[in-house]
Amino acid sequence: MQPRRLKKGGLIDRSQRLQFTFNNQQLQGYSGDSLASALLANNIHLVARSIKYHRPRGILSAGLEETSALVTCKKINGVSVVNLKATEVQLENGLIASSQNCWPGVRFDIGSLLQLFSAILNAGFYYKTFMWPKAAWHRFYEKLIRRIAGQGRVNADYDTNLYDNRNAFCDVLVIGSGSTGLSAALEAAESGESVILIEQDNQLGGSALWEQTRIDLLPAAKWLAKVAGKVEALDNLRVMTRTLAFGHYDHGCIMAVQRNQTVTDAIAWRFRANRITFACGATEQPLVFPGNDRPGIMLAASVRQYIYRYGVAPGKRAVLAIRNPAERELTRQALIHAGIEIAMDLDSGSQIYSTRGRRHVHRVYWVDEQNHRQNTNCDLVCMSGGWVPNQQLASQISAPGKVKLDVKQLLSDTEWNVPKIDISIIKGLSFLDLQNDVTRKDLELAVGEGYEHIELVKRYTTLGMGTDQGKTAWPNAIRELERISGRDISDIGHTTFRPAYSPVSIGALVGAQTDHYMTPIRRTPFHQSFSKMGCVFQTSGDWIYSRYFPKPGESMEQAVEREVLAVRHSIGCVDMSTLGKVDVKGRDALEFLSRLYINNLDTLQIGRVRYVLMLREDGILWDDGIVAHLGDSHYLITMTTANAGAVWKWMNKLLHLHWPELDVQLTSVSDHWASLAIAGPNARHLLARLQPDFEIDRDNFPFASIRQGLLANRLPCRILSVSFSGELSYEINVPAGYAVWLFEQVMHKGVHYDIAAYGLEALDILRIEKGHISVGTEIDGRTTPADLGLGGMQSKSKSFIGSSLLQRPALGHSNRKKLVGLTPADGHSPIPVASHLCHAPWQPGTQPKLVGNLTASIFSPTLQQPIALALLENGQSDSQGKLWVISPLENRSIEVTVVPPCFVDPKGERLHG
Amino acid sequence: MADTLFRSATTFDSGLIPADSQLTITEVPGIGLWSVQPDHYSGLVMLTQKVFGTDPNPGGLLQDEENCLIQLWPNKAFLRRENAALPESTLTLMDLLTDISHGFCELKLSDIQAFDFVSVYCSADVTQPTTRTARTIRCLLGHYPIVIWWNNTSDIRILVDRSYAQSLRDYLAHLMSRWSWD
Repeated sequence: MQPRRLKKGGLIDRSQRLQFTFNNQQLQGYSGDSLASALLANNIHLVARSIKYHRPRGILSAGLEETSALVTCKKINGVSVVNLKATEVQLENGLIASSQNCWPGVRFDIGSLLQLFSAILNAGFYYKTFMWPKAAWHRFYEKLIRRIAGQGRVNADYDTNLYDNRNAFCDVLVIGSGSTGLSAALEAAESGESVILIEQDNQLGGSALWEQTRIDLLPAAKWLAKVAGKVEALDNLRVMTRTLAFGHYDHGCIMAVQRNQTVTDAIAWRFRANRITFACGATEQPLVFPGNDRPGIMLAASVRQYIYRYGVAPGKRAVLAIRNPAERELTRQALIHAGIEIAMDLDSGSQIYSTRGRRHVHRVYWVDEQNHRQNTNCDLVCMSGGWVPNQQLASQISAPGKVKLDVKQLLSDTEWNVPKIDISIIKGLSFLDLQNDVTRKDLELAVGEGYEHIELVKRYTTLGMGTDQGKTAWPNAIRELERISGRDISDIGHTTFRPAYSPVSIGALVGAQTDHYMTPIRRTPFHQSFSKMGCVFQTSGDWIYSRYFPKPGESMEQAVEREVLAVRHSIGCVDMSTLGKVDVKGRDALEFLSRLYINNLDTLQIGRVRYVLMLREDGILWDDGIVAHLGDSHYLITMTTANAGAVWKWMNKLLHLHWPELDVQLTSVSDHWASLAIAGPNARHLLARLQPDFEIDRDNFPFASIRQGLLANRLPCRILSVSFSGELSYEINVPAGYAVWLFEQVMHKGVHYDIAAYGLEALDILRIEKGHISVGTEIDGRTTPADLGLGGMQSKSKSFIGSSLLQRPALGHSNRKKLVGLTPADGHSPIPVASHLCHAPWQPGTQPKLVGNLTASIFSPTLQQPIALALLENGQSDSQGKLWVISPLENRSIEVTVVPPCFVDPKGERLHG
Repeated sequence: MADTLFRSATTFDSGLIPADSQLTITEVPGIGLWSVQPDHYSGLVMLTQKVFGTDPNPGGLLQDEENCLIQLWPNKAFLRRENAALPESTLTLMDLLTDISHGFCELKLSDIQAFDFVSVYCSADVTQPTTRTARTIRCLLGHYPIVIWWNNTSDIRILVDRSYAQSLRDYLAHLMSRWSWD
């Protein structure tokens, strides 16, 4: 059933037979097989087609340096995953694998016709082609390229696999469990350090698993068994197999992905270690000769691994092309062990100049040291151009921890594949990068066109840009550049190594943070109560915030209009809990706040509240809020929802770094207090029904004041008489655990006044009607208090954050944009949102001189007409004639009239009740 | 509608914890929490002497039967109690204290693997000796800023801002669906 499986040997479990499918063909393998070893055991060498020329490709290697054997795999009950290397896929029962980049199949692929055009499909061809006729790009070329480009086809079905992200910490992290890694891990653990050893394979040992060498005078397998026993006995040594380190970051951070766990498909681990040992081994390099990409041409060490580890004979008759004598001898022994005939063992002076075989190599041609041309038939070529240490992971981080690579030393073991022979006899393409179909000629072309720097060569030819990251490409490429350009390889250098060392699934990187677990969600204390009322929520930063409260059958517009009118005519209630709140205490609390805000706070008495403005250091308005004087050296301040986090950090920074001499304590109480504002002409009546234990008439509890006490003789509260809507309003603050009780009380006792809960939509309309400013609209990072008509708040007798740069002439220029109100000249035309202001109507194709921009535009339910707020040069003093709101997006112009920004109750009488 | 004043729980069980999970999450109701911020370190010493009869323990916990002082900041500490009433011994030190009882929610993670579970999802190393001795740490779990403290490793307490509490509780349950000590 498995014609190339050796009768005995290998580290596979022959008692566990596994069934799998490759290109709809039912096949068998054993537990412990990789997909590649199982395919070779079944004498399947043709696995895929190359990306550009659609050349038949087989299995080059046995590890993650594999360039050619890219497949699509699907597990039982799983989703299909593309671009997996067959050498990395662990064989499982029921696995379904298929070739990629071929149609209708891998044996006969229409795309192979592209080889006829190989002369024009060389490096950078896409910069020189597909240009004529111009119209053909969108109609034909782009569609064609999208159809044929790439490797596998991604499955768009929902990925049902489970992924996770986790953290681990240790004194020493050892990457790689070959003899070096195991020794290092043991030594560190035996000295008492906490050690984590990670290994990408599913077994420890690295090459000791198959190489027939001796370690510490013992055969490798025996040494491994001895060491494995020691490893298991140590509690402070944690072993993680199937864990591939893919990224090395600053401060001892390694990212790795662990696959095929009990519950999860993949876990992305973030390791933080005091020290990291890189025992990542080395990668064998291919030889570069014409036709070196045919199925059956494999790396010599990989052949040995298939024989000894998997019990597979990858061929029957082999040619050896191995420079290093020791490697050659090891391979010879392996082939003899597997019963593979050695057709030819090429010496170091020989040069392969051609190969034959459409879907599998069957003949090799070479020139020997005596310059005689020879050839032989074969079905396996074992090649080795030497070994290059895997230094990529170590050198991914930035200086000073960066490992500087000595390219000369790195490539010291590789053979320089220069064609010594008569070039006219060379038949076929010599591939440097098998995955991206980059040939020797491509490099010559790139250098000839002026792309000499290795980073440019990489990008122009795409060498090393495939999923294998050029592990078997860039060393030979550097040698080629040395030959072509005559420069020393130390000058040529290498490309920058970046994560990921090997491909990582997006799912693993995302982990559990999918859907609404992507970011934390903040809920106010009223959330559950609002949900029961059918509230429609919206996100506002991290918050889920009430947007509107539709009654059955209501549209959003109807609900919002009802809510606004309820506030204007009777009473409404809105959640204000998202505002930032900070408790400020200490002997220097007033001094601290005075430096922070532009307002004069000296005269703020206990029990009173002041609307305050905070500037950035450059004098631009940043945030607004209130300061409430609670008691002796005790204040409560509020910040906008949007800026709460930033202002809190800013305050702490100022206090601890710039003003540490001030005796001030700041405590964030943003989440401690639930805040429900009741607003409307009946607000005081409703408040009375809640039974506060203090006087609430207009004289005893005037606008802009705060009272602390109890509601219904039970509930501690702080109530502020402030208003964002322009109506008589009280913000009732209670400890958040009592929010549900408070809301029930308010709604129950408010029934008498037909109370309406309202949300952000209505709140915004109410504040626009009143001309109140808001962060993100009028406070847009460019305006000053004076621009918004609030310059009078600025204290003249003290300095404050931003006061110096506020004096800059440009910030006081009379021509600056100022806040105005707008109404349509005809009284009814909607004013397009996010539009600009101009003294002429919009003409398509022109670039009119803009004199301002809208900050808000609504239909006012109170006034029954469109209104807007805007920033206009010269503000109310604008005297340049008619004014239009223009919207190039909507291709509309509306003539507007400039009015004061406060549309409702400009005298502020309603605020006082 | 209840006329009797009641304090609501901050979170509820969304039913996301896998049925076969040994780990459980519950909310600890009604704890008292105060931010202790003296103007000078001597103020903190005074408080710990009055409440615990000992000096402060920077970076760690001070505990007796009812009180727990978590000192993870250079300039402040959290005083935690099983109920919302301040100990009498602190009544003369009210200037140092700000009530934040309702600003935080304490979630309790219970199971023999509770500590292991938390250790892989926190951004800080909770297993290192100094943290194990301190029995408390301030760190991130996912994107959530939290304070963890524990008496034993099968009973882990997580203090989180109230507004994040339900989201964190759901997230922890979501993590449990893929938790296994492989």
